[in-house]
Amino acid sequence: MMTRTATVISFFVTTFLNTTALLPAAHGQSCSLARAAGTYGFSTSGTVVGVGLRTSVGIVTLDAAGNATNGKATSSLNGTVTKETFSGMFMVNPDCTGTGSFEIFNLSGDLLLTVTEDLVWDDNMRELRLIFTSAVPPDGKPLPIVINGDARKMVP
Amino acid sequence: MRETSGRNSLRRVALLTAVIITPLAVVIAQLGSQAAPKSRSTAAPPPTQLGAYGGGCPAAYKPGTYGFIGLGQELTNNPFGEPAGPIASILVVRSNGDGTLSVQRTDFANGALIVTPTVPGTYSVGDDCTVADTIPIPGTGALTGYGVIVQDGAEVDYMATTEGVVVQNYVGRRMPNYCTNEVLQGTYGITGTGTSLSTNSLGLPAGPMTTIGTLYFDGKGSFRKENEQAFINGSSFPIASSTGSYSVSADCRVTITATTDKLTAIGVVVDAGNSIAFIPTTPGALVANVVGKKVAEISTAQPYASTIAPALDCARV
Repeated sequence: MMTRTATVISFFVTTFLNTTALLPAAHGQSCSLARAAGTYGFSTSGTVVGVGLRTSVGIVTLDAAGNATNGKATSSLNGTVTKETFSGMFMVNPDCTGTGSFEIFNLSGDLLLTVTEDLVWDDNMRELRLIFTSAVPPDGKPLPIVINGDARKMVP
Repeated sequence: MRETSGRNSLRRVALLTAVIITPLAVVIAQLGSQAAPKSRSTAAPPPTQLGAYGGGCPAAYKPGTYGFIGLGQELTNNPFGEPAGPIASILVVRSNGDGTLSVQRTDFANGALIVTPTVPGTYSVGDDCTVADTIPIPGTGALTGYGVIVQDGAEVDYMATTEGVVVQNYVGRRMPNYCTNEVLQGTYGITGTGTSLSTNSLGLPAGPMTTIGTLYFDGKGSFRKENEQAFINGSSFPIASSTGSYSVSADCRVTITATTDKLTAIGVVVDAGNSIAFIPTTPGALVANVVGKKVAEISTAQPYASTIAPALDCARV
């Protein structure tokens, strides 16, 4: 009797484990740093409250170690156009949410802003949606901002 | 509707053209690269120059058309005498296949429809698949834009970079080569972003606005918009369903006219009919971008699919 019970339990445990193992495949792969890696083109738009509209377009490379490198962008703040470079770090949760922190410089290498963002990947990690959660200039006084954006892998 | 044909309009069109032309040209150029032999990657990259492409983002010129949708703000100090305020735009950019492009732009600026004539432009593509364009404007210098090619050339993200004119982002996607009403058939999920004007006649309050809903096209010229919810200035507003007619021209431009309310809109068909981008044009009402994506995608092998496969070789970016 005990042997039969053990067999039944083993069958259900094995079936459960197999089913669980198949779930990621059935619902698509979970998100990871490795799958996020690639070069993205992005655009953002929004407002620096009290200053005016801000838009930007640029590219950035994310690597499997969580680094954001070779970022470059052109931004327009209320019609004043600036070329920028940036770099930083990001993380990805298995549910495809994430966060990022980036330092933005002018072409002379001067720090302009430190920004943080909340991130969500979709379209099988070919697209990244983002919202700025903070923007702090070197003087340490946070700017009131309402900015979001989209990034897509240049080669999906 | 206001038709503009003066110098200011030309300047404006040129700017917009620049914004659109560059990405379009880049994409088109890169579309051609898909058919290029593998030996292309071993060849010395050509120099980047106006009317050419970057070596790391190789492309060959192929004719084709892209539909762009843009949203932003016209500045008070713009030199063209255009009204300041929120602006939404639809642009149709055509590559001639030889490094030159043409752009036709329609704006809905602060509640007024402005249709501008087609203008030419030039562009350059960087090795990293960024693009920059310059549109000469007789007597006033030039207008510029900057963008980046993504998704193997299926999309170009772009922004105006001429200072003091307009703060505006654009997203451009490839249009089918030929369309009829049948290209829009089925249910599209729609999302919109923009501004509800104080002068709007749709019974909505003024303020920044987002919307979400569904739009059904029957493939024969009738539409039904429903399940729409607007979020305006921090409050939620259910939007009544509306029905009416739509028309898709052979060059894949869309006009929408409701019979149950005052809604009118213009737009473009992109992504082989799987997506539509449009702007409401009800006078004085909403300045917004709306993008609809088909709930169930059709195959790109459909007759409306582009004959030029969208692909870029940006592998070395």
